[in-house]
Amino acid sequence: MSDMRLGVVESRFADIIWSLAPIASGELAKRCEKELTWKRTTTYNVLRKLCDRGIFQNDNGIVRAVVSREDFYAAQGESLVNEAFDGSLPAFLAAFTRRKALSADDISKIQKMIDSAGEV
Amino acid sequence: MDALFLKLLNMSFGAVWLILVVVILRLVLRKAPRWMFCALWGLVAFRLVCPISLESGLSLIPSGEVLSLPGVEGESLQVHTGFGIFDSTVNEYLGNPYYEGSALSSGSGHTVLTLLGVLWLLGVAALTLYSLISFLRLKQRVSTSIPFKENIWICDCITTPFILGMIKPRIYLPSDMTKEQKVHVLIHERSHLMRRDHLWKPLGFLLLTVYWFNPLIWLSYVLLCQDIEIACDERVIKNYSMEDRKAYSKALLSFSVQRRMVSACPLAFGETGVKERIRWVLNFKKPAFWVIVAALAACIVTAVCFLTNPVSQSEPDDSVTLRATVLEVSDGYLIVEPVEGSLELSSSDRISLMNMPTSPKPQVGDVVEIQYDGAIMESYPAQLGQVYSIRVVEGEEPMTYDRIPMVMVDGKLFYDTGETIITKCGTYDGEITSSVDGSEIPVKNNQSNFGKGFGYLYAPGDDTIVVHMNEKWCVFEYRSNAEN
Repeated sequence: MSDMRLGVVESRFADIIWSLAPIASGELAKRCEKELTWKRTTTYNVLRKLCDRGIFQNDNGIVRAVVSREDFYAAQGESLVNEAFDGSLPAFLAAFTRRKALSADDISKIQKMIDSAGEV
Repeated sequence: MDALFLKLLNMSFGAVWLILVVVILRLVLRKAPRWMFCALWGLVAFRLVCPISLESGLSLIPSGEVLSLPGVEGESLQVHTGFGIFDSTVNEYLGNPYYEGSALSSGSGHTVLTLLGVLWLLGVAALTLYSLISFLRLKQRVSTSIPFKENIWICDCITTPFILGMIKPRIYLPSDMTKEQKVHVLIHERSHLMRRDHLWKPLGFLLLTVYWFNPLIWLSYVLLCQDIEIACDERVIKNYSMEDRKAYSKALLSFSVQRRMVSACPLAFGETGVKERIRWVLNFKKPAFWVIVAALAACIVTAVCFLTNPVSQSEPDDSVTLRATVLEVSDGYLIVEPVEGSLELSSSDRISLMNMPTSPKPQVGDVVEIQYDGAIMESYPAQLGQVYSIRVVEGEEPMTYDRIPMVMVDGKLFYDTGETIITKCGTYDGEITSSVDGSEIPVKNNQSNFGKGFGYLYAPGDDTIVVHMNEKWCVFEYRSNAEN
């Protein structure tokens, strides 16, 4: 699942589903026609592709999310750190903060995360 | 349909000269603004589309009608390219049925034309189908695109920006473009739309499907596509610094497409000679004023000299047509005998005239059609006043040459007496089984010089037979002196 990237168009579509799931496929097609100007067949085709990739499922006309949006992008982040930084989160943060320093807000949030991570 | 195809052939020949000139001009006027080249291609297109041709004395085209349709069934095609030597050689081949051993049957002019016409239609259909299919495939590919703003759409599955559609054209962009790339590309694509290239390119391809048999048209289309792209590049980088030009070139490089196929659509950013375009972008200098003026002048001159056809040598109204059989050919002179029924026969049965250099070489026995001013001089052989043209006409049996109908039976030659009888006899004593030409004498038994398959009967006495011809019985008489 980690090597599934979504193109710009696909992620727009996925965001629509994530924000509405569970939703009847007919309803979904109507929404996509309004927001993306897509024909029904187009919507169903792209939906089928994403279901094949295991992100969504179409159960008797009800579209559900198999993987939530958070989980999906978490997996994306994980694979990025693995590929580009050999799995080292500190290395990732160092690279992230090279050009832009962490804001005070960022620092306190990260601090809280470290504290709660220690407790598990 | 034959006439339509012939007209197209002639129109494409007329355009050939213009295309050659435009190709040369493109090389000579390399510094001129590119939109002028596109205008020149417009001239070519006009020439190919307009069925009515203007005639002017300034035309530099050698000939307005290269292929002329045979007027009479049985005649061959005639070629008038305007180059005398070429014309006479080709016309000699086309007119002479037995040229160096290969036989061209008479009447071949029409059948060859029809065959070629069918082939042409097949080519048109194939190209039309191809462009239709590629258009539909592209439409399918961009069906999953989403609107960005105005007529710009974003699509995941394309690798280069392009314009699709003639009536409501849309600009499709790949989804992974940087902001900077977007800026350059959008100026380029908007230039295309402003110049209406989304119309010219498919129209050019339409002309290509009609004139597909002419390789110069293919060359023109390829060059047209190049010139369209470079003209848009020019619009984009006209006022760019070298810095910006480099960024533009980088964009060209990232979106260059490998496809080298000729197609009607789309108008893709990275198609067509990216290397040449980058080189041109980096070396571009605004053309000097005099260059623009000179180029404009050259275009106007080209239009005048090559859009119009030469004034055709139409025959003067007082021309008279004479058909005659060639009796003798010598040293540029012909002796001919007017055919049966022609007015000239009453003035003289022998006319001498100079063979014209542009017409094919008649042979003895050929029937020729002579256009002249109607004047015959009283001499023997008679001479014509002003001869306009001589044409060899085939397929005519010269009637004046035929001998009296004869049949050889039992070694004896029987001659037609012209008389007929009525008889109710049903069975034949014999049948004519072979025939020689009407100008010859039969040499075998049961051979005639007017046809075969006719039955005959012996009449009382040794000297007469009757031959059953066309519901009549004709009386043939034996004559011992064979010479006629």
